[in-house]
Amino acid sequence: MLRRSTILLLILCFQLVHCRQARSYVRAQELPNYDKGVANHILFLDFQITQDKEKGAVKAELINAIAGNGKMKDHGQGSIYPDQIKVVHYFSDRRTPVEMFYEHPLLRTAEVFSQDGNLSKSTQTALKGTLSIRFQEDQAREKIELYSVTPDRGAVKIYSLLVKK
Amino acid sequence: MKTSFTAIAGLLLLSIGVAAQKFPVDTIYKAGAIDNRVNIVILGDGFTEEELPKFLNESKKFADFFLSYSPYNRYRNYFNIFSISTPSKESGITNPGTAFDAYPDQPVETKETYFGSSFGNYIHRLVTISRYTTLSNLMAMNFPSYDLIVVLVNSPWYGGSGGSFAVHTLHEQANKIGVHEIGHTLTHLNDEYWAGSGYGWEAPNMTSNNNTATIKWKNWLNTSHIGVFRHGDGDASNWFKPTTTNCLMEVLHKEFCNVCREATVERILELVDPVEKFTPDNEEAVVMKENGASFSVELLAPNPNSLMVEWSLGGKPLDAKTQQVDIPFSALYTRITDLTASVFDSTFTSRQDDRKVRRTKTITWKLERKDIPLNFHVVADRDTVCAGESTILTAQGCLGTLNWSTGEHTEVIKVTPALSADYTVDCYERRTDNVHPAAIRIVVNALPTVSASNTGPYFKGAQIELKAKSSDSYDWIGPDNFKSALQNPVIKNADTVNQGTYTVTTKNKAGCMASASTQVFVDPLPVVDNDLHSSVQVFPNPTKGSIFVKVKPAGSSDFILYDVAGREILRKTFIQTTEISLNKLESGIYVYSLSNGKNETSGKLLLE
Ligand SMILES: [Zn+2]
Repeated sequence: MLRRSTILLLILCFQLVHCRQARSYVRAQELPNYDKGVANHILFLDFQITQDKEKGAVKAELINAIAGNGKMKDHGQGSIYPDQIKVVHYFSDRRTPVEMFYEHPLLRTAEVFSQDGNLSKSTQTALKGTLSIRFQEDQAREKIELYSVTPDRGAVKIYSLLVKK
Repeated sequence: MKTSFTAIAGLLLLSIGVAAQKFPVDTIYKAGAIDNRVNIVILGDGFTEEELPKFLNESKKFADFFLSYSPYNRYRNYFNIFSISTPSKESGITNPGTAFDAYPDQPVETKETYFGSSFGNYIHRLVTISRYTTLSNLMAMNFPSYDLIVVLVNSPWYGGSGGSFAVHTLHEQANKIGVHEIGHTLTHLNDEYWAGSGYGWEAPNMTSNNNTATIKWKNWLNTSHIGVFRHGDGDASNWFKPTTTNCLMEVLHKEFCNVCREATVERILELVDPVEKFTPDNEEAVVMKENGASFSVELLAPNPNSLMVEWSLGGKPLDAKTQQVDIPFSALYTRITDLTASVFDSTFTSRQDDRKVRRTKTITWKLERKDIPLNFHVVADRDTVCAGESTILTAQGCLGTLNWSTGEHTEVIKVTPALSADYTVDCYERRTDNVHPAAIRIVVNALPTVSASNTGPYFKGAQIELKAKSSDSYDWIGPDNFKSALQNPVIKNADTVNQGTYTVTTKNKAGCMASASTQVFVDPLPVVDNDLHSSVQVFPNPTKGSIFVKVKPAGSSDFILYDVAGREILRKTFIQTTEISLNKLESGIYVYSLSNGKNETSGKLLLE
């Protein structure tokens, strides 16, 4: 199903001279592992986050999307390091957009555990990383935007993903 | 062209990237339904097909370690623990051997594994996975509703890492890494070691408030090493922690401190409802028979059991503290009586001030005695209101669904009628298919019309006259503790302290009130200087555009014009006579002062 629509889109794009307006979108029902027989779905998206050089522009690309069955609990949001990816979910039913914050994949902090029991934090900068997000499917969700948030540049939009019915 | 291509490339990847498959999900401990438990999923990396029994065994070891750790040990049955067996092509994980602290005896090798785990390139003991997409696909296909993930890595060498999930090796010290990380991901605890600039934020175990009267953990101060400890110098000096080198969030060989235990328990109780089930169903009223009925709640008891159950019938507490009560028919005196069970976990691991209010779960049943006539009616908190006010309407005695004329369906609604109105509500009983109507009229009284004005601006020494529109009562307040109940009060001998806002509140016979305000300006200039006043002419006054000023005494005179707020608008120096254009000014009242030598006078000027 998905493969056919992908190929169709590809053919369509080659046929058109001006296809730069093509926009990235997902349609939950066409995602792999989407089970139409159940009421609740959880969507998993993976974005590749890249930077061509240190301090260069941050780019995002959707590299994986898959659905699962069931419901997620609300795990709330703990605070995180000031460098973050902000994911904003927009809804069509007048709800205020929901912002979620994730660790910046290009500036991951890992805890280092020494065998003597002492701990420390290690910041791992990278030019390429993966942002994995998971959320409950919601019929009213229409768009997801990704922002790279850093203390020196503020929030910069890096991706916009339409969620189609 | 480029954007479209990346989008398509992405979509293509979507279709080919689904190499994930279903794997056996093994239950290590299942205490209850997925949606009312915290679900931990343990994954393995670097275990070959033949080594999967070893993985299961290691998963069980970690599960046992976790569930015996305080305070999780008290809430074992609030957790489900599962493992998913994903075979790797090769046994063990990659060791780049490039870090300065690499273990000299550990062989340097590259391994093809399911999640691509590796020891660190720069910090050896930092073991991380690299195939995040593989992880997403695995979880989506096998356990989408997970709450926490722990990845066990098949290596006997010490190492691990945290982040959105915990990764650690099979080294005997490493399982504490998993518990520490779950402290971050589940409870949002912060580290109690100073992790560096940028890691200071409000968390259950970190705060910038060091006031012992109000600090988050004030109820734990002076118990088992709990105090207020500054994190360090520089940036760290702004942040405080509850203990020092005495908590798993600071050092791995200590257990959680009391503050972190409290936060953990509060978090578990946010996610898991201690009331598993109750009988009978309470969606509809319970029709009571002559021989009474039994009501029960099925509770998820921690160990030791700190759950407390309280029952009340018709608002009066019952003696029973058990999970079941028997209500005799004779205990009911009205058609409908509410029976309530309140469940609260009184665990001493939490001392939070509002815990009882926040965490008490209540279940209410409506008990019906058919032999007593139904008395369905509406009551209002107040059946007469002033325009703009609200009142609360309550539908009492309905045993079905409610339909208000406002479109609402709840027992209690809030209304704010603009004019007198009738509110109707239908009570629909599904069981009998009957509709019982009820209604109430809310009378709305109009507000009095109100206005306030004064005859100013005034000069020092003048008489201030305040004016209000006619009503039934007046209540003036103003600067310098001014109070009056007159319609048009007067303040004699005005001074600058009398300048300011005067507000009159009027009340009509229905008791409805309205307010209006007026600004009074008192100019500090003297009212009259007789010497000069009689020898100055400012005309025409009122004027439509310009004025002439004539002064009898010779020598230079200064004319200054102020607006009513006392701001200087213009100033002119002249001898004996001048014409001043006011064309650019807005119409209104102005005040002028005129000085000649030591003499000074002032007056009002009206620009039309
Ligand atoms: Zn602690």
